[in-house]
Amino acid sequence: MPKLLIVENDAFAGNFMYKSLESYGFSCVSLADSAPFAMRILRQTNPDVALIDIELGGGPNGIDLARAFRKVKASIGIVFLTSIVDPRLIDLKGLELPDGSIYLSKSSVTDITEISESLQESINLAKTNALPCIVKHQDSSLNLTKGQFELIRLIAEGLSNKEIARTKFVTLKSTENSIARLAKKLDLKDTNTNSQRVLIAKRYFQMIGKV
Amino acid sequence: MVSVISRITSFPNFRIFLAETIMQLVGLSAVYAFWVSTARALTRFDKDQLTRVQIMVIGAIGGLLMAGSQSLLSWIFDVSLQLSFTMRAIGNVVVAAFWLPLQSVVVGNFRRYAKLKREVRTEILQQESVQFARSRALEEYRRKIEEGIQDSLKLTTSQAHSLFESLKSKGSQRLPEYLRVISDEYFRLTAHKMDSKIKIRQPKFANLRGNFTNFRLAVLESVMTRPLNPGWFATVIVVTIIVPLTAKAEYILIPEIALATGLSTFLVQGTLLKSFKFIKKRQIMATLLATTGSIAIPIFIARLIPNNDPKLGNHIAYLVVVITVTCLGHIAQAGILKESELREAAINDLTELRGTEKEQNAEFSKITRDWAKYIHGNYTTKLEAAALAIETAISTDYTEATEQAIREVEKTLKLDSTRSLSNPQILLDEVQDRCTNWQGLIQINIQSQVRSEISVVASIRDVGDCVEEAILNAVRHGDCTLVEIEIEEKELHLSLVVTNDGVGFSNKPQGFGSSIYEEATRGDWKLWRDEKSKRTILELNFAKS
Repeated sequence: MPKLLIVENDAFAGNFMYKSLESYGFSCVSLADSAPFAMRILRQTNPDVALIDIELGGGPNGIDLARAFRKVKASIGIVFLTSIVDPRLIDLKGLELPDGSIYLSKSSVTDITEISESLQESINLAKTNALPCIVKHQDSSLNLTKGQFELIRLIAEGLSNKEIARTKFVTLKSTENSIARLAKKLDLKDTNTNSQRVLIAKRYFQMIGKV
Repeated sequence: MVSVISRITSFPNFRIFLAETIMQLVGLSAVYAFWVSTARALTRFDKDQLTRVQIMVIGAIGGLLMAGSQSLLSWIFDVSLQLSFTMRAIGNVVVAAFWLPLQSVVVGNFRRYAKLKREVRTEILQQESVQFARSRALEEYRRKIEEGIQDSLKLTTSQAHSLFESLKSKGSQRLPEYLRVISDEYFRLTAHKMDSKIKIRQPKFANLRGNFTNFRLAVLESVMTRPLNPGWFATVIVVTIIVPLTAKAEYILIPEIALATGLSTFLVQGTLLKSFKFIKKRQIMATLLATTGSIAIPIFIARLIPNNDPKLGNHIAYLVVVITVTCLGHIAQAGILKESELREAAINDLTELRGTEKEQNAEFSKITRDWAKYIHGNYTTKLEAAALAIETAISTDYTEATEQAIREVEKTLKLDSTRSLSNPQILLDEVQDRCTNWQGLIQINIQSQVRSEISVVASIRDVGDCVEEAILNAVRHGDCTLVEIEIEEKELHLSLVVTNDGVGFSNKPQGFGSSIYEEATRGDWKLWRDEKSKRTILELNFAKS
C-alpha cells in the first residue's frame, strides 16, 4: 500500500480525507497541519506520496513545502488539493509548480475516487518528473493573461492603483487602463452601487474559494 | 520413591544421560551468555546491514564457544558418546557458524528496535504536545478570559469577545511563546506517563496492522523481554532432558526453541484476545513452518541415522539438511531489518500508547492553571501583564483589581499597534515567531546583540514583515538551506542582517518584496552577493527615533 502524507490545516477536511483515503488502499502515515511538522513526518516515515493543501496559514505555502519535500525525496508523488481554482491565481513569485505533480481544485473534485486516482498517478509521474505539473479541470473560461492574474490578486490584497503601479514598475495611467481591461474581461461594470474594485476583489475571492 | 530413584539410577545409560544433560545446560548457558553480550554490542550498529565478515566472525566465535564447552565436559566426564568427539566438535562448529550469526541479527534487530522506540517516543510526544497545545491553548485562553470577564465585570458576550479578539491580535507575538510553554509542560507530564506505559513490554496486537515487520518484532519482543519466564525456562529444561534420552537429536538448536516458545505464547494470547484479524494468516504460517521445521526436521533426520553409523556421508548429509533448514527458517523469521523499517514499526507501535482523552484534558487543565504565572515571570510588556492581571484578579474574585487591569488593557489597546518597538525581547520574539513556520524546511539561526531598550521609527510588524519577506525570497528565489539573522544596535540605527546560502540573484529584485524593505527602512537597505563566502546578504537599517 502506498504511504500517504496529508498536509492540511483544516482539521475537519484533513481527517475526512485521512479516513476516506485509507479505505482506498493508502496507508496514511500522518495528517500534518503545518510545514515544520510535515517535514519532520516526511523524514521519519518516508511516504510515497503527499496530498498537500496550498494555503497553510502563515509562512511557507504548500508549494514551498512540496519543493522542500522533493529535496528530501525526489521521487515523492505530489498532489495539490486546494480551493484555488487556478494555480495562476497564486502568488508564485516566479516559481513553477513542481514537475510531475498534479493540481486539483476542490470545487472540481466530485468524488474521492478522483483524488485516489490522482495520488496513484502522481506516484508514477514522480518516478521521472519529466512532465510539468498537470492541472486537472483547468477552467478554460478564465481567459486571463498572467499579468491579469497578478493584477486581480493585487487588487484583492487591497493595494491602491498607485501602489500597484509602483509594485509593477509601470505608470499609474497604465495601471488604470489595465484594470479597466480586466474588468471588461470579467464582465464587471462599475455602477453607482457597486465599486468596480470591490467586484474584482469579490471575483478573486470566489476563484480562490473564500466566498 | 526409593525404588523409583534406584530404577532411574540403574538406567543403562544413566551416566551418559547425566553427562549429556549437564553438557547441554552448560553449553546452552554459554551460548546464551554469548548471545546476550553480542546483542548488547550489536546495539551500536546503526548500519542497515552487518557486513559478511562481521557475521562470520560472530558465528565462528559462537561455534567455538559452544563446541569447546561441550567438548570440555565430555573430556571431564570421560564419557564415551555415540558420535566421535571430533565429529561432534566439527558438527557444532559448522552449525553454529551458520545459525549463531543469524540469531545475533535477530537479537540485534530487537535491540535496535528498542532503542528506536525510545527515540521515536520522544519525537512523537514532542509533536503531539505541540499540536495538542496549539489546538487547546487558544481555546482555553479564550474561555477563561471570556468567562472571567463576563462574570466579574458584567460585560456582554460580544463585549467580552471583542476584548478577547483585541487581546489576541495585539498580543499575537506572545501566543507562540505561550503555546511553547504549555506544550513543554504537557510534554513533560505526558512523557512521564508514557514512560510507565512503555515499561509494559507485552506486544500489542492492535499495533500490528498486518505489517510483517511489526509481527516479527512483536514475536521478538515476546521472547527477548522475558528470557527467563517460566514457560521458556521449563521448555529448555524439558528439552535438555529429552535430548539425552533420545540420544540422537543433539543438534537441536535451543534458540529455535526460544523463538518457538515465544511464538507459541504470542499465538495463545492472540487466540485468547481474539485479535487474529490484525495478523495475516500467511505470516503465522510462515513463522510456524520456519520455527517448527528447523526443530522437527533435524530430530526426524537424526532418528533415521542408526546408532554409531560410521558412514561419514550420512553425517554430512545430516549436517547439510540441518544447516539448510535452519538458514531458511531464520531468513523467514528474522532478516536484517532496515533502520527505516524498524522506525516505522516503532511509530506504529507507539501511536497506540496514549492516555485517554479524559486523562489528557485533566493534565491540560492543570497546566493552563499555572501557565499565566509562569509567563508573567518572563515577560513584562504592558499588554501581557495586564491580561495576566485580569486572570489573576478573576481567579481571586477581586473586582477592583480586575477593573483596573481592564482599564490598563484598554489604554494599551488604544496605542497605535504600529508603535515603535522598544523592548529587545519583543523584537527577538517577533523575529522568532516569523521564523517558526519555516523551521524544518530550512535551518534558521537567529542572533541578537540588542540588550537594552531601543526606539526606532519602524514598528514591530514592519520588522516582522521584512524578516518574513527575506526568508520567503531566500527560499523561493535563492533555493537556500540556511538563513542566518543578526540583529545589532548601531549608533544611528538598528541593523538587521539576513544572510542565506542560496544561489543569489542577477540584479536587484523588483517586486513586492523590495517595496516592503523600502517602506520599513525608508530606503536604507541593501542586498548583495558575496562571492567569496557564497552568501547573499540583505541588510536592513531601521533609523532610531
